[in-house]
Amino acid sequence: MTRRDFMACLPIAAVGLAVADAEERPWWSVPALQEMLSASQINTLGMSYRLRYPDEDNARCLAQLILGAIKRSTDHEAALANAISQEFAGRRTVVLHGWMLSVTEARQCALYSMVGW
Amino acid sequence: MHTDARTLEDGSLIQGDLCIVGAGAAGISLAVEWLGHREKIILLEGGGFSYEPELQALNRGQSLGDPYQVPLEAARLRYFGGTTGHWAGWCSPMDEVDLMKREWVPYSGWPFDLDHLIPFYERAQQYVELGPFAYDTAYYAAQAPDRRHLPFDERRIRHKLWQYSPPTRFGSRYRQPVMDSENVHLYTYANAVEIEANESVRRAVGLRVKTPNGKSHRVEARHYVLACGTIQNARLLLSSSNQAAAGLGNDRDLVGRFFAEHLEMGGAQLVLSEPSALPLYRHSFGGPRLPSAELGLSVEMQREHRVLNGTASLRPGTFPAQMRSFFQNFTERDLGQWLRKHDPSDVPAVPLPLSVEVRRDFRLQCRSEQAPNPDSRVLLSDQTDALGMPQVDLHWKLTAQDKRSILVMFSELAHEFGRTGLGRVQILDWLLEDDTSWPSFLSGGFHHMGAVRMHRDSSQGVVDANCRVHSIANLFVAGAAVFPTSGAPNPTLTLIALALRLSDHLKKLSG
Repeated sequence: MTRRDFMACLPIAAVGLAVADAEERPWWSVPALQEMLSASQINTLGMSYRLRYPDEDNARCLAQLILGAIKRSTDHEAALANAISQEFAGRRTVVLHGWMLSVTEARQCALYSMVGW
Repeated sequence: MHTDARTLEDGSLIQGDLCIVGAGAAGISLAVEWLGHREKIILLEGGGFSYEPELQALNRGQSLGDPYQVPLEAARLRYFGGTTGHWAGWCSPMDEVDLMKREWVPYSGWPFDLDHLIPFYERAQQYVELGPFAYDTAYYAAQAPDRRHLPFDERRIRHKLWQYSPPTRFGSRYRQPVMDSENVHLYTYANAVEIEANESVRRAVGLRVKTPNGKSHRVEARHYVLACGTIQNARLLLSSSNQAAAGLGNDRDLVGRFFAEHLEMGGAQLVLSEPSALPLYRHSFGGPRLPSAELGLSVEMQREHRVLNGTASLRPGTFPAQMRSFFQNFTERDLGQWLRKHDPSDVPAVPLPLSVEVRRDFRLQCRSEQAPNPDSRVLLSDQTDALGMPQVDLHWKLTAQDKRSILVMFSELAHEFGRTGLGRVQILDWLLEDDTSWPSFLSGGFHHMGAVRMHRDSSQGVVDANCRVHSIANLFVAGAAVFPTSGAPNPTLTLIALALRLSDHLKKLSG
């Protein structure tokens, strides 16, 4: 975790983590990844990320970092997709169990492995 | 014209203008170029017209280097038509980068560039019954708009196009024209066991030929072309040691070195974000086949990462937990079984409908260049074959650059699939473990190359730019043995192109 990322974890902002409605996905979910990988795979990748980056092994911290990637956008899904694409282009990626993931989607997996949805 | 050399009187003398040793893709292409000419062409074939186990056994050898997990006698076919008897028909030219001198690839560089080879490729297309020499996605997109290519950044990822020969079995396709010829004389069961040179070892003066029924003959010609496959070409030069202890053309200890294979193995798993048939990337192993594409790194990326050339094919499905390679299918030495497996009549004549293959999961299979490596070599063994000729010991040697190049290719593909949102890629464990170890399913494509490499400088190559053995005025080599670097594409089209080029050169020499 970079110092900038770490600092982003400090303020415990009102970041909604819980699912308001069972039918509704949380803002930080990974619909694209969920189309490609099973829930079990996403969970495994998330656990692996948390083990590798213990400083981020905290739901609020992960949520803050993900939120930081999408800036102030209100269309979270589109903003996340864009951020992930840009991370791939900029080589901000991490390899977990061989899967090449953008840092943000790896964090999404980590958050998923904590709170699910 | 055809003669079974077993029926000749023992000790016969066969004379002609040009002697071609070996009737595979290179040897037959060369011979066909001379049909109807006034010169008498002698075409020697060690086998007959079909698979015979006792003759196939003459190709036997030991693998002592990195595990080449397939019997050497299974890799090349010893009968008229040669290895086209079991090839799959994949055709594509070398890329421009394959022939370039690359500062990041030691020993790279051909004596000429791709443009020089294009006219010969165009002619080679006809030998393997292909259409126009067209290998770009735009050409095919114009013909079949549904076969769209993935919208990748061309500065990073390139497309490699393949055309498919029926596949042409040279043994059946060219048998009759050769048999009917008055100037091309085919001798079957005629195994060249030694090239004899003059006293100064500057000219070849004859060939010693043995038949399976114990007869010996002699062949004399003005020019000789070795076209019996990479390993056998090196073996014949090395074992021709009566006048040169280290073998003919081996003054610089280069014969047998730089042996190369293509690395063909599963390397990564792709999952698409939307199910698709990916029709442009689909291929099958038989029936009428449309051209298809593979993915690889752009030259700029190869240069940036200092890696070798290579491509990835996209094959429907998911890798099993226990991978088995193409090579590992050869658990028994039943070559007959192998031949039946590749009989075109065994596969569907019409490809399966696209709708059947719409899916998310695709296996990414590498087809990679092997780094030119002087320690990867063919040596003579202490063992001899049934004709008394030394067998070979194959020391296939891979390098860290070979493995890293595959990893970098899949890593870049993974980034590009991620960037475009088209899918995600899982790189297989064996690539991530380290830079030097290879998996149990290490596999090649039966593509033997190098070992008699071409270079303008006699200190760096066995043959010159005209494929003539540097030190011997009238001895030439045809086939993939002369490739200075292996490139990524299957070698057949290129080796035919080079054979046609050599034929033109020999015609000039003949006036």
